[in-house]
Amino acid sequence: MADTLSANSIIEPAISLELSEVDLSKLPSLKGTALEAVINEIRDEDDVPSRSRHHSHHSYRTHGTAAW
Amino acid sequence: MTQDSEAVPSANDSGQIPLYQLTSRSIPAPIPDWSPMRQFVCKLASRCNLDCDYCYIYHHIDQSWREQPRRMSMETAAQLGRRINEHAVKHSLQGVDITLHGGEPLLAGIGYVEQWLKTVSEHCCQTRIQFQLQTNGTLFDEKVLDLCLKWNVRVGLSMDGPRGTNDRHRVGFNGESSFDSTERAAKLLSSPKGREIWSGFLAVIDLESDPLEVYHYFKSFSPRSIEFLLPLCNYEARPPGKSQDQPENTKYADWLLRIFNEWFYERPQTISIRRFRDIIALLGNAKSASEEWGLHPIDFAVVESNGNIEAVDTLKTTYAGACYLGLNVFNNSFDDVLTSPMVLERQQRWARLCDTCRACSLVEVCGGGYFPHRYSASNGFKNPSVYCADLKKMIPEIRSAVIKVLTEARNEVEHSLPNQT
Repeated sequence: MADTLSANSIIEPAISLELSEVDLSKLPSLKGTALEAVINEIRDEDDVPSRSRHHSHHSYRTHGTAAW
Repeated sequence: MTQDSEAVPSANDSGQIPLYQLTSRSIPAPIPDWSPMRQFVCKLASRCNLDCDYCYIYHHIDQSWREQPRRMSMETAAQLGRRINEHAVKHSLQGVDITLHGGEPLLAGIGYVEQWLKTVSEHCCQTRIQFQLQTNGTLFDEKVLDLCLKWNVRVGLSMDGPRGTNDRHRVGFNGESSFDSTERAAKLLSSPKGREIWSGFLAVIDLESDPLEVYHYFKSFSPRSIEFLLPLCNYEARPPGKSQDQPENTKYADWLLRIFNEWFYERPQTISIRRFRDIIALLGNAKSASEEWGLHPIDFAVVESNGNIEAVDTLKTTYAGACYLGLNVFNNSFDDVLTSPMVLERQQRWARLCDTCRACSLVEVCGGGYFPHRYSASNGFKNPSVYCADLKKMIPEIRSAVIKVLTEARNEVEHSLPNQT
């Protein structure tokens, strides 16, 4: 795959946002927002949601405990 | 892998608040080109008691359901359990998701379903199983709820919205409404008892409906999650509202963004809308998202009622036989799936994209669009999504909203800091 990738030339800037670097403890107004929940999920990537679109099941560990 | 820093828009100017960073890449971030299977979508019943006009199993070009047994035999269920166990042990998986799917899986009968759960569990005893059930809700009652609680089966409910919206497509074989019985299931699942195992709603977008009316209806049940699905269409069978001469219209993005622009700013927000969650997460370099998004390899397989291991069944909307891999749980392991050309196509997602998608800045989020949405008779799956214009509108708008909220949050903190000069 690496060969395939290096043969490419994407020239437009990517659109990534380093959300996992956001220090939520210093941004109190994000408390309770959808964004806060997603950032927490990104940090806990072991908490993998189901991949198929066949089910609305969300995750192993947060079920019934976290806000989402 | 290449990741060049770009000018960071004053994110850390204060030196106190790490906020966000824009990065540019010449190529996508490193992504594995294969994954073991972690989810198994199992067709307990091959028939349904509803006749939804958009159904990808019964109302599209592939009619292979006609050759399937009405329900999976217990012999097949036992072998399925053995194969999942074998795969989980070989790849040291911490756990697997097993989805009871159909058709309508509850058509098989509650006694059958319990026997199926027991059989699969007995033969897949070396890994943790999270069972899931996707149902249209029409047969979901207290007894089924108790069964799901007993086996810790997470339940997803398929429903499109309030009565008028739901009954536009989700009807019985004589055109009768399915709304009352499905809403009964929603009430049961949203009860204190039901909430323990309720995952949320799965809805197909209908442009004729008012998006906020649909959202408010679902929200009234306080679900854990909602997924709004784009209709399963492609270049040969165009999406409703997107004819061939209007490829650039963004009706689906406009529909979804009306919900996003309410949902994103609500506080406290307790509902996860998976489509928006996935876009934001992938913008933030998440490794996981639904199969519809991103460039990560798929990690699930579909098992038909006769034990056939198949590619994702939504491919039934593209051409007859698209899902068929020639594999069966009696003759093949789930590792065999990983060598199948159709599955490789979806494991090595970046390598298999068309040039247009590979040159697009949004590709790390949209992943080139959902695989079945990319199909055309002339190019196969080497096309941008038939919903490309919608994705191009939706992703940047959601990104702008994220940046706006982060910036406002940071400014609020900075203004509250004492003046140190």
